[in-house]
Amino acid sequence: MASELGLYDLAKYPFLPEAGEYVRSHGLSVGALAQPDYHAILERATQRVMEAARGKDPSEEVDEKDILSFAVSILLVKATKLDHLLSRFALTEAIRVEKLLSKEKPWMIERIVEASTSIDVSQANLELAGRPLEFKVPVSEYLKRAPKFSSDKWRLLNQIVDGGYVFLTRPDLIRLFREEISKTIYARAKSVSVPKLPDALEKIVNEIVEATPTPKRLEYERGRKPEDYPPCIVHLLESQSKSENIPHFGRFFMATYLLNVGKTVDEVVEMHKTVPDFDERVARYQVEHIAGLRGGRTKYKVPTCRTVISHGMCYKHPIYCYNIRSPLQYPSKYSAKLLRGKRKEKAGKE
Amino acid sequence: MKRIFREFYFKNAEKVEIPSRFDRREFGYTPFEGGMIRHLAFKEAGEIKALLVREVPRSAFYSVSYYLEPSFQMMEKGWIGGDLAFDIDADDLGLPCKMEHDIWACVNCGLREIGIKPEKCPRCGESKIDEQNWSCRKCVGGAKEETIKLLDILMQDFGLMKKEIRVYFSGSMGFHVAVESKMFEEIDQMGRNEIADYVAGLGLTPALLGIYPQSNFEELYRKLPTVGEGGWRRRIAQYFNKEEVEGYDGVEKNGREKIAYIYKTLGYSKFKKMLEDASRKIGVAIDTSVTTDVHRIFRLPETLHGETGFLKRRCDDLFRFDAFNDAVALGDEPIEIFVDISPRFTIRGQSFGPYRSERLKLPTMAAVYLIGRGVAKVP
Ligand code: SF4
Ligand SMILES: [Zn+2]
Ligand SMILES: [Zn+2]
Repeated sequence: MASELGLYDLAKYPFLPEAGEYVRSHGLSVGALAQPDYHAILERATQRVMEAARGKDPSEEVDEKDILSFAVSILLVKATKLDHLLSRFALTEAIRVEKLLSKEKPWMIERIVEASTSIDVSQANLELAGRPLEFKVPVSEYLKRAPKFSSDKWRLLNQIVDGGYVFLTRPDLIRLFREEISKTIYARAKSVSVPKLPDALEKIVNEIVEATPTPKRLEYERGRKPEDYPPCIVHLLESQSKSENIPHFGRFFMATYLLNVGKTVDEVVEMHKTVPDFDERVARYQVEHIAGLRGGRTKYKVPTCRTVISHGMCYKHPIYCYNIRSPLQYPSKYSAKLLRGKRKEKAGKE
Repeated sequence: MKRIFREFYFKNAEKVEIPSRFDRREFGYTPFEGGMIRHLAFKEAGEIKALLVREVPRSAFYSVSYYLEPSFQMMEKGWIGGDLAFDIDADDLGLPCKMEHDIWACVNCGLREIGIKPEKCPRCGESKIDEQNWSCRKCVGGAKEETIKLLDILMQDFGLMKKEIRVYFSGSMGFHVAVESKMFEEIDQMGRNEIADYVAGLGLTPALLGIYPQSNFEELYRKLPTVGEGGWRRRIAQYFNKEEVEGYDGVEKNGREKIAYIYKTLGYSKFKKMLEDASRKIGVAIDTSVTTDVHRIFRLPETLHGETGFLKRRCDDLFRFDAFNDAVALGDEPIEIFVDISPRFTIRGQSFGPYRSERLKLPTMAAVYLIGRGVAKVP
């Protein structure tokens, strides 16, 4: 049973559409933000963004002005034009939501999950094995998320499954939807466009930029070993070794990737030799071109996962490919092992 | 054999069951001449039937998955979703009747005998030995029981409806179950792996029963499963409720007390081991790799199995289904063949064999059964 949301509820979960309406009806203008009336809100918004910028644990103290302070903090974040700050902001806000939800009324939890996923969560009020199983979600939705958590605890076999539902405790339910809540906040923030800000606000924006550490640039290791290549590259290499015909994009993708992980032009050309219509001169020319040794001298970038997906060449690993944008971010064996945690080998049949 | 199959498809191609969304599925077949043809796609159901009549395949297949471009190479097909597929094979059950009907053949000297394959060939000492699994009524009966267990899990635990589940006799050793459900079709390989292990009972931990290494005994009892619960907890409780346990003399009927007793006697690590064995027994003997692999192809329903001449047959009434009767598609017309070796077998109530190096006349259905298995030839 869903009840009416109070202002305090909207302040806790200001990414809900109802909160957006409230902000709109309030008719807040950017110009007004510099006025003393809004001092407290501006201050709170700045604090919010700073929490994200400095990677602090978000506070759980919320009051009614936070419906507006959330909207203002999005303005500030967007005005910095720092994309990584936006992601951090969404994550920090999501963690706050998670903390708040852990003490929330069950119907509110349902509502928040439904607002970010459109999934039907229902209350179960079951107690089994000494655990209160407050909620249930459809098995299929569970299976779209839980398998990537890779610990035995999340295995379907270790859940209570009945009548098409998986029964979950409160922390597990919230954990299951964490990424989606964070994505919802990110998407909300991303869609906001920022008008010209008054000088007083510009000053704050500059302070935020100063306080935001530049993200560590991803250093791609040189000399990555073949067993650490991402599944998309492994598949291409396999079909190449079987002399299957690989579309142009596939060859281009492979070449950029291999050059990026430290293979030389010679080595990459050598690897192409199994291709049915191999012509060393042409292949060398192409690879050198990709490496930026010829033509425009631009070194070609490795295509993003999204591009690889659109060419139907992605073989997404459900765990290791999670949350990565470029095949270069695929974890190496070492990090993969860490990620894998304790997942044991399954007793499979032949 | 091809002539017999041709005649069959000429008369029966109409009855072949064309899977739903066939225009999004890949088709393939193995010709009698050998090899495998894949990546076929069809816009009209009639074209599939025409292919059977024209090409007369030894076996014909369809993909469990749906693709944007079913005729493209695997990498480029564009996976949209797929049925959930389960394969239950009598051979995995390891029933004692295998001894009566399996055949082994020495790779080196060619010696062939009926029975379980030996470590080494008794004639030449070769250790490479091929085996061929046959099936009998008992095997198919065993596979049927497993299939019934599977249906219970699909409906009770996963909440699927009967109309979303199709059960088939595979045409040879067991059963295929295909689930077509909006809810499950987009589940990826990882999710399917979870389903497979759930169904098979692989990886169950004592935590599900509320048992942890440090649990104290008093509070444990409250957490143990009872037969009145759902999912695997119910199955475990039912299983132990029925199991004879040495030294246990309680009378309680919900399973708890007996589990508590066993746990107390065995201790955590032995109990864990025993629970793993029990859950494998309770679980369904599916080939988990079939369920997990979204690129699998399945035999087309109501087509002939190239190794038996039986039909892959829809079983709407699994309890009454009798494979050696209901899946028999070919007739009685006698054919003269030379049989190298064959165990005893029964088709449509007629019993045949065992045979050893003999030339004889058998009804088409029995002759094709032996030729398909590769133990007989038309002289
Ligand atoms: S997600 Fe990216 S890295 Fe992983 S297989 Fe797909 S394209 Fe390759
Ligand atoms: Zn031999
Ligand atoms: Zn048997």
